[in-house]
Amino acid sequence: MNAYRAIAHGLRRAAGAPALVLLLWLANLLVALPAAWVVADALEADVGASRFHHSLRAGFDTAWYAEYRLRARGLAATFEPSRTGKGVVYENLDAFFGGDLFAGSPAVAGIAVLYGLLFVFLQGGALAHFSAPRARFNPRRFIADGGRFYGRLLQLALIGLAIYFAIYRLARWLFGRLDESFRDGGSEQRIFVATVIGGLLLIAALNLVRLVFDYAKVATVADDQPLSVVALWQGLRFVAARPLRTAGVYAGVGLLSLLLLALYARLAPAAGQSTLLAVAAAFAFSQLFVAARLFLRLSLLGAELEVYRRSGGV
Amino acid sequence: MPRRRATPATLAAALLATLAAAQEPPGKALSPRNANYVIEVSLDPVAKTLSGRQTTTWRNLQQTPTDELYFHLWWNAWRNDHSTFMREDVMRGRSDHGDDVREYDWGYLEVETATSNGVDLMPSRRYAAPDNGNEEDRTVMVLTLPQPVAPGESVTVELTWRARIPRTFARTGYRGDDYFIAHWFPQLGVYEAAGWNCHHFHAATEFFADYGVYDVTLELPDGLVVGATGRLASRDEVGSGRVRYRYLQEDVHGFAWTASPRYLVREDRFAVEGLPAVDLRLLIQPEHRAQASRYFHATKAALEHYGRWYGPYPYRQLTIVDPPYRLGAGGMEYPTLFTGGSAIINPFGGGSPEGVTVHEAGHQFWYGVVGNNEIEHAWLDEGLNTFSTARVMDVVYGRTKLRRSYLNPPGGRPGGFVRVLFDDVLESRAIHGSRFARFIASEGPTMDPMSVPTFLAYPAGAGSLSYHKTAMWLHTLENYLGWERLQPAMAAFYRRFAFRHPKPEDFFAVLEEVTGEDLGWFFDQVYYDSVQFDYAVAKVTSRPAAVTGYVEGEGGELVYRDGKKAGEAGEEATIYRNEVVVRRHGGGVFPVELLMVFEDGSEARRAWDGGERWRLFVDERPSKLAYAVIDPERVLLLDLDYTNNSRLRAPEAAFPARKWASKWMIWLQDLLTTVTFFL
Ligand SMILES: [Zn+2]
Repeated sequence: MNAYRAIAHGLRRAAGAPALVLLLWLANLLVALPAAWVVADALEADVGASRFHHSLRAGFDTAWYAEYRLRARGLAATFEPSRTGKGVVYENLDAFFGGDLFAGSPAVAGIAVLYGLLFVFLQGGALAHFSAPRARFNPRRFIADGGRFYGRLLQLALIGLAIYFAIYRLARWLFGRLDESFRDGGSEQRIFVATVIGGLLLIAALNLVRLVFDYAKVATVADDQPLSVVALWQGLRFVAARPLRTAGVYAGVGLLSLLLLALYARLAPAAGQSTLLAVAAAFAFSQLFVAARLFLRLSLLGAELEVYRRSGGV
Repeated sequence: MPRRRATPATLAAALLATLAAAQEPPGKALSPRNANYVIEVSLDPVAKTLSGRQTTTWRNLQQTPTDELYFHLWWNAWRNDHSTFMREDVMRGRSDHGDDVREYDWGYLEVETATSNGVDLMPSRRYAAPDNGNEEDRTVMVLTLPQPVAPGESVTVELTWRARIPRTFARTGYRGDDYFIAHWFPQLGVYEAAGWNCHHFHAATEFFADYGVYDVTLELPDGLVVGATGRLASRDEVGSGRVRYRYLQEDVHGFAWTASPRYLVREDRFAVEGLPAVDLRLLIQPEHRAQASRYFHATKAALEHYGRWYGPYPYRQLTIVDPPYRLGAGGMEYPTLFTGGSAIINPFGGGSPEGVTVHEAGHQFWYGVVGNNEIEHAWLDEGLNTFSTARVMDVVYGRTKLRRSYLNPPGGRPGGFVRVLFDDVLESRAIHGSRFARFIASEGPTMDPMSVPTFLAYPAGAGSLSYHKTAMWLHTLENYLGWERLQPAMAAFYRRFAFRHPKPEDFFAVLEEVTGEDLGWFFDQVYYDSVQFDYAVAKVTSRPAAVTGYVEGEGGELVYRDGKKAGEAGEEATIYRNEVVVRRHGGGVFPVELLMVFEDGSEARRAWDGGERWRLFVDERPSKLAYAVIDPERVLLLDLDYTNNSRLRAPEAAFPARKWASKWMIWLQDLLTTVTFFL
């Protein structure tokens, strides 16, 4: 089975389980919603009865924001104009690159942990669903499977987080060395190129680890592997035995994700909506983007499971 | 008080006449030329040292004799960590090197011989500590002369010195074979009526010197592109791979130079109707070559608008330096030369490098031509210039887009190469370059009044006072008086104090004289005091004006009336009593206007001297009040909280709050999706 076919299969499996996509999207939406409520209340309280409501309705008002940013506390302090519209893509990509995902906010970190715990559960259910070929989506079984694999997948995730953390620490140190090496000479062009190359290596390292963990998760579910350490070993062996195919599938879906990000960065609704309908439409469009990201995420699981199944496991 | 009215054009013409001499060869002095320097300096690129031989001629402009000469040895600020500069750097929590100052980073300037008319002055040499008694600081050197210099008389001193170039501090130093060399030679302080004005080099302040003629010969290794104050008089190869460059400039108060193998040279000419032409020379990094036209455009914008508003640029040439990456020399002004700064990916529209270019080119006027004491009153150039920069940026470029820098790796360095603009998030002139944000962020009740000399102000807050607060109160003054009144006043100040050293009182006096306005009440608050301004609309109500309750009837008996029913009969509309309570939360007082807007679209404006702590405004009309705004045109930019300046009877923040929260929510959702990468 070649990579292209596996990806197509993954996309078909995800498309064939709209309920699953819906579930993942709803989980994401519902975790974010209370936080957005808190921010909305903070914004409303800050704008209060002032005339700034007018300029904020029609667009953004940097004069108001100059005051707001000094008054905002907690979650509300993470509201920045650069985190809206296309900035969503730039900010989060940069945060991913820098390994600094929570915007310095304990509240955001807490929400991310909560969502992470939920996601591990959903991922278990989704993997179990995909591991049964042509199965129809069954919510009860989905929940049962999510629970059945939860402990093992969570263990894997924690091991993974430790490794990712180590990679970021190492990268931090290496970038520090790089910076140091240019302290007393070297052109902007050279350090720019060196940073880009360093960045690509960092991204490659993160994705390589991710690839192995993906197949460890697949092995956990497809083989009902009880020990996560063994599953990790299986994942490693599987990827090592089929580096081109596994990486090809991964990179293919990764490329689609990048295209999606680029598309959203271009099409993201800007500040202009001034009617409820326009705001709702912009919000709905953005939700499509979030759902599409999750859809690709599911497609990758489906594709990787297919690769694993067709290769007869380890 | 007699009011002198002058149009910008007539003022510009008058100034043009006075300053036209600058276009002539030396002889017609624009300045007193009482501190003149002939310097020959040689660079050792391996040891990173300079050896200098300098002849300094000084003329006593005061009415009292002196037998002492005070010299700034600026580079001794980085001789060791006991200098005043390094100690203050710690206090202000910002420095060029953090805690990481290495052996080869330190620099110094050591005078080796000093003679006058053959008399050795070295035995008399001492170091002064005029500001803080720091005896270990070596930035002020005093030489005692064999005999006093009488008023109007001159003295010539020969010095030889050796300097170690620092790894850039305060925008001067080297990185590899890139050099930016400023404030590098023993430079005389300013002899004033009260004696020598020669401060230590302080961390949060800059420079002060007399005007003179500079004749500087740089002996450098071959292969460097050189830029310097003044015009290149000669370039001679002197063998063993060395080249001598001789630069000349009259009527300046300093001399800076830069050398690097990396610069590309671009040339252009500023030529607009009514202003003298200026040759522009740009030294730009190859990575930024596509931005050359943007540097030129912004420089010309500054020369044109400052030229028309205040007076012409008086020199024949101007050198723009786009400094080498991480040399740390960006964004600084020197006579007839300044540094900008950019990034490899830097789209047009975000105000960079235009903003820094306009600002530093603008310093040729405020600092270069009008030579205030930057150590004592930094605001006189930084504040006037920040104000003017924002004005030029607004006139020429309009509103700039929000700019963010990306490609930041773990740890953050090296990073920020990619700048992205947000088309729909626009900065206005009032908050240009975040100066409003920085102003309100730092404007606590514990700020120094601006009358505190800059070098004595709390180091972490001194910058905000000089740049942001001044720009905000000048802009407030522009709103209050009108540009057509403020501009001639600033032009008069420029004209009268060109090539002189004005004090704050001079600026205030010229402003009052030319505008014909008593502004003491304003300067007392924004300059001599540190009061805060904050007006607010505290309450808005609308009720039927007709009485409800018991009133005397026609026969004198008490009858009950229901005011809400008045006008219901249809013969007349209900009259509403609209009440607005405004409050003054801050200590500052400023005349403000109250705007009331009614539901039927009608408006009412009321003036208020802003003096009382609160005031009730009442307006009766057949319409309810929609909202009220105190200072609706935002004249008082110093108002720290403008959100509370307006109040709707029925708040409408729910919609925009939910709109923006819904956009923020996408960020959070996408962030959560990104987090799943790791799970
Ligand atoms: Zn400045």
